[in-house]
Amino acid sequence: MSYSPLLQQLIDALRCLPGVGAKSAQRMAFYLLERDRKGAVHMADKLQEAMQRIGHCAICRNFSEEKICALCANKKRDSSQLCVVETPADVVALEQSVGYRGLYFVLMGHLSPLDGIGPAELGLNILAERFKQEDIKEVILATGTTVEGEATAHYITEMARGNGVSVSRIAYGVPLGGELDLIDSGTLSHAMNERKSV
Amino acid sequence: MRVELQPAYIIHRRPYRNTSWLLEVLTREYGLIALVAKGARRPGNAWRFLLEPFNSLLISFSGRNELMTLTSVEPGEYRTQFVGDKIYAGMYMNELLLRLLHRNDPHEELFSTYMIALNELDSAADSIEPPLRRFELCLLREVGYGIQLDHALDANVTYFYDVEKGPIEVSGPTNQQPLIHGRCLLALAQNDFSNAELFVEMKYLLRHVLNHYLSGKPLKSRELFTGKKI
Ligand SMILES: [Zn+2]
Repeated sequence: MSYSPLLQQLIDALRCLPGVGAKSAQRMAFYLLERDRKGAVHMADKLQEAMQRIGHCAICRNFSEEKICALCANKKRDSSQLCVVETPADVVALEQSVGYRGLYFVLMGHLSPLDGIGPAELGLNILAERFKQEDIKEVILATGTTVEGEATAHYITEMARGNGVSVSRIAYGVPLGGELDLIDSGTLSHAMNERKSV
Repeated sequence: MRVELQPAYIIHRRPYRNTSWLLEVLTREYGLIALVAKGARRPGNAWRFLLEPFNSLLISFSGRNELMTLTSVEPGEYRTQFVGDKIYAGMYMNELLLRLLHRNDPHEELFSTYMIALNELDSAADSIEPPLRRFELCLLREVGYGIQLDHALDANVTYFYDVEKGPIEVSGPTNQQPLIHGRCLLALAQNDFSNAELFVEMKYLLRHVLNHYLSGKPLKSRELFTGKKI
């Protein structure tokens, strides 16, 4: 099977999307050429524009085309609470499902020295500066429960305490609607250890 | 090759394809090996929570190439639940293993030392220094760069430690580094970590030797200890 050079380049380019292999890339390319050239041109425009203009918010590091994102600029948010998450998707999840009114800090990853990711790569110097400059009373850690997430949480805890900021960690345990015997033992032991009186 | 229920620890993992992990695993009999854990990143995958660093595991794997496939995982003998600085210490050991070991070279003694070090770190001992130093000594020895401690050493003499030649007695003033006391070298030779006063010097010597073999490329995990001791 041979494609024209440009078609081959398009298929190769589409493969940079997660989960897209050669076969899916070919299907997408044919679909766009056969059925939706207008949509494809629009997408190309937006890709171009987004890649050029979207950077990181100077305060929370989330994606933003403004220097300071809308959430950080919102005066109605409670600036005494700061929730630290690993990814922009975590902010979306929390915003959609929780009545949280504080601010965020997005690490864009977690401490993973073996991958070359240390404190500086996560922008923790920016976070340290916020602890000093802003009137943050509580930092809420919502990093993952992996070893790397734990290391990150510990590092930030020490930073926060050094600046007199109190630290809490979101609880984890039994999922709603979950059966105990289907839960992995790590989660279950956590749920047991972190139990609360009723 | 097909291997069943091999004692092992995950040293590193990174995402592979859409739903898999690419694992670097330290095994008792096969040394450091690379394995693919197919589908292990899918939500609800039973291996998802086991395949983390510092968990003692029994793994089965098979394959013919350099890159083999994980076929089963069971929790092993020990359960570590690291908190705080212990995680950094574990990450530090893992980074050293990845930097200094070659794949598929068996190092049974190193495996045992690593396992003991993890258990010691987990046992809420006061200091992370003895397990880390024991691990570093063993790692250097296993990869053929062992600290030379078989010289006739005098506890009260100061030595310049030459990475190639070993300890050299120093008589007058010198600019040579590192200078190490005989009693520190003797303690290392006897695997004796009871004297906490020697910890700083032991760390200094081991760091000097490790840095030499790490070819000047610093360890990233040391950044986690900035302002602290490792
Ligand atoms: Zn922001």
